[in-house]
Amino acid sequence: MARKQKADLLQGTLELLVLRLLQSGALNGWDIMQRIRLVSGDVLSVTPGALYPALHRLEERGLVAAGWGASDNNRRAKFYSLTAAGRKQLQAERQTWARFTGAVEALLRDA
Amino acid sequence: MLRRLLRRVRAALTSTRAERDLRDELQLHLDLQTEQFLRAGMTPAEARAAALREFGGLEQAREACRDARGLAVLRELPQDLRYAGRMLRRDFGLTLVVMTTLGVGIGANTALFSVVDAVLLKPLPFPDSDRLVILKEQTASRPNRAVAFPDFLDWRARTSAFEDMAAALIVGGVLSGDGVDAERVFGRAVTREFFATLGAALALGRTFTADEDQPGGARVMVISHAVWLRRYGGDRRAVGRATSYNGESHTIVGVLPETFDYYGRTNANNDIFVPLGQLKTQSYMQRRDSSPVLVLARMKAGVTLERARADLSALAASLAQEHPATNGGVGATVTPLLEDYVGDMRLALSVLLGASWLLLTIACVNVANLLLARASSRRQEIAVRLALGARRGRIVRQLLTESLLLSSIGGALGLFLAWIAAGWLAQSAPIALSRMEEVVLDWRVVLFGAATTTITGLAFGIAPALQTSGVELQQVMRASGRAVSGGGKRLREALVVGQVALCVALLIATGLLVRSFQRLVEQDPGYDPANVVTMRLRLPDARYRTREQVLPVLDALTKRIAAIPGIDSVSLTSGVPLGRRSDQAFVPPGRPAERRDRAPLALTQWVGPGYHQTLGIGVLAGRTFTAADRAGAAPVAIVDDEFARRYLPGRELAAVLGQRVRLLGDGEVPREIVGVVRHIHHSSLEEDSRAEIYIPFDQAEPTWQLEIGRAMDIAVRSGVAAEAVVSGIRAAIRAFDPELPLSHVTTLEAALDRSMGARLFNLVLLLVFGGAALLLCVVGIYGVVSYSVSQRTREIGVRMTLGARPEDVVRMIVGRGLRMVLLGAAGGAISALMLARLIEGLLFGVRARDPITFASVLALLTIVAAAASYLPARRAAGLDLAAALRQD
Repeated sequence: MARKQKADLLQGTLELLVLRLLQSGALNGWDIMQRIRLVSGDVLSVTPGALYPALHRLEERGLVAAGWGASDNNRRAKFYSLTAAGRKQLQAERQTWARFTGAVEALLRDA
Repeated sequence: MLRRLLRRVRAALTSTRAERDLRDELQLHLDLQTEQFLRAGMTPAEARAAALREFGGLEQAREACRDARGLAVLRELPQDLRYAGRMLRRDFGLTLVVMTTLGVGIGANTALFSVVDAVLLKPLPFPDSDRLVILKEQTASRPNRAVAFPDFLDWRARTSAFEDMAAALIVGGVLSGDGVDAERVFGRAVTREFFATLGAALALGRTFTADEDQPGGARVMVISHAVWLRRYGGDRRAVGRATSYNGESHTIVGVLPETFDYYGRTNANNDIFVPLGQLKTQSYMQRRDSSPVLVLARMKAGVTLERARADLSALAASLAQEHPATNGGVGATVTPLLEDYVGDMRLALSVLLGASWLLLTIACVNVANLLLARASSRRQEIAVRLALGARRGRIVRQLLTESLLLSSIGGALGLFLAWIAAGWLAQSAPIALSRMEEVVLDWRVVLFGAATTTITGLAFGIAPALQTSGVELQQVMRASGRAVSGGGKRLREALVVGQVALCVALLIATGLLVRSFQRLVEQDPGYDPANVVTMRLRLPDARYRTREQVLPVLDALTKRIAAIPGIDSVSLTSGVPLGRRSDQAFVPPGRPAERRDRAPLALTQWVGPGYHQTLGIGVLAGRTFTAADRAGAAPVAIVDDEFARRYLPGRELAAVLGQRVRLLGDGEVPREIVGVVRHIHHSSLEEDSRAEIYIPFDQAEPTWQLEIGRAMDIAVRSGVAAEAVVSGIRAAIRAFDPELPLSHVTTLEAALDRSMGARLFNLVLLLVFGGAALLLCVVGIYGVVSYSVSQRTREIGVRMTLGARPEDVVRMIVGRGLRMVLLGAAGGAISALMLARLIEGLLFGVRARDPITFASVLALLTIVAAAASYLPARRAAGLDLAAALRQD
């Protein structure tokens, strides 16, 4: 397998990404991983060892809700969906992120 | 073996629903990844391996997920509990031993606490009862005497520290009339502030008015709830009725509430209350050198005991200046009411509580030791769990859950035992232990038991948990656990040494009390209690107003009782042994008279003819009283040998005869000593010996004769059963006058047993504690030695192959056990020497450093330790050599 250059996620970014991915509907852990890989063109790497604890953390904080359902190939899978609090949190973190990246870009451009 | 362990651990870890969900979630991920690799063309085996690799640390991920849950502890608790439960079931024998050990330890503590709580800690049932105090007077010879009434009046007028002060005097008499049987009652004459000072409200009616509390006031009475129920069936109209007390009509003005508890409800002089002020005309109420009243006072809010003491001392000092003849050298004391009430129980209870703490500590040490022993056999399991990614804190928590579960089971058993014990204690405790009837297993006690249980669980669990979870991984995986047990062994031996030390201290205390009791039982009371029945006769004041009315009745009654078949002799006295006593000031032979409160005191009894024969008191010189020693005859007295030793030292007993002694207040006539009898232990077998003087009742000072004569004790010696004697006497008295009440009916032997009740009670409890501690020690020693034998099987095998004989092996192992015990025993003996002074107050006839007790306890422990080590040693010596050497 050819190895591409991969970027480790910034602290806290993973949770933002998860919230964003869940905005369009409930997903299970495997789906979330595939989508991160797909959308980022294999640039962002997430390991299960990081993803699942993050999901549990979000569930514990009430930002996502979890329920059991059938996966695509009809197996018992745990699906995560955004709660109202999660939606709010996503909104807030998107703004923070925009301000942060805007500031970094401005620095990189003009400094 | 390893695989089985692994399976068990995994099962335990995944037993809850949350765990199952977590497992499923991650498993799905692995499966999907594997399928993806399969589709990429890998073989199933390759795909599975690749998926696992890609996943990276399945167990770590699980742990991280568990950690993500903020309430991990709570979530894991049911899981931990279930796992702990399984471990306890697996080691059922161990669980049983631990449970019983803890049950006994916690039970003893909780039961004892219930007693301490009821007796020492619970406040008295009066508002702000910590401000209630008892005031007494203090002279050099009588540190704790009652108070002169004029002194009380001055104190009350001048005090700045007390908001209320009341005087009380114990009275007794006969209630009659109202169509109910005449009844002997005891109560108090009190000044009108008494109930207000206590803060006690009446259930019905009112207390006394100022006019009633004066000489010549209307005769009124407050009755107890019990008397109200007994005599008036709880009728509210009882208030306002007239009843006859000592033959005089008294109006009932109030009824006390059922909860009224002044110096104990069951054991008290609380039947009736009458105004004390009406007695003011009595001469003894006007003298400053006579001290009849007890003073109850309430300190002002915010006043400390120290300030109250300073205030009262200043008052006493100024009175001493104003009345030097009577009050010179008279100080005053302030004692909290509760302490005055339970004072002498404090020491005994403290010792018992200390003993129960020692027992619990020993139990904890034992359990810790057992868990340590098991810990080493669980090292592999723990190591596997650590290898699977469990954190150390998690394992410690799991192990602590286990010990807390153990302690909870033990605690439940302990509470059950305490419940049984508290019931027994409340019932069988001797009367001398006041407030014991209040012993119950209430929420305070249960809370104490629960706290003890938790602390216990942590105490015995923490060392094994830390030790076990600290295993070096590779070491355990490589060696099969044998090489790493050194640290644990030292810890276990240290624990046994400590345990033995505690046990020795406890046993020495117990031993000293056993020896005291033995001394006490051997003590000769000075009289012969067998076949003696005693009782008290009370002649109602109103019908027996003069000497001339009293004396013939006593005479007639004595004759009638003497005529009852089976009665060998009968005699009247002012106080039989183990009943009342009267201490009188006197002038010893050949000495000048002294002021009354400085003169020596003697136990004084006014007795009828033949008293010494009736009680079996030995005559050492001279004679006893006869009918010829009557009023008008030459005044005589009999003294005891203690009197002779103290006041006529160096004289032959025969030379004591003919000396003269003078009783202060008794008309002060010099009396010729006509006999010397043996000293008797009047109040109890352990009392301090005070010299005794006997006076013929017929020769008592006339005004005293009336007082004494209206309440005489009857002592009867007979060859027939006590019940028959008593019913015969009752019948004789009833035939003579149906309104004469008899009370305090008992045999001297029973009274003697009762007088030792409190001591016996303490002793039995301590014996139980000591025995339990010894048993726990044996278990501890046996456990450590047999564990060390099992660890050294191979070494012992080698030794024996090289020519060591079985005796050598036994000697080696027993020697090791004994070394632990001797170390512990030395420590225990030293602490016992240091603690000895604490229990000195409980001892009788034996010194706190009694070498015999110390030696016997140490010998006992050595023998027990040798026996406990011998069994495992024998097993080791009987080893199958080949098997031992083969063992890996």
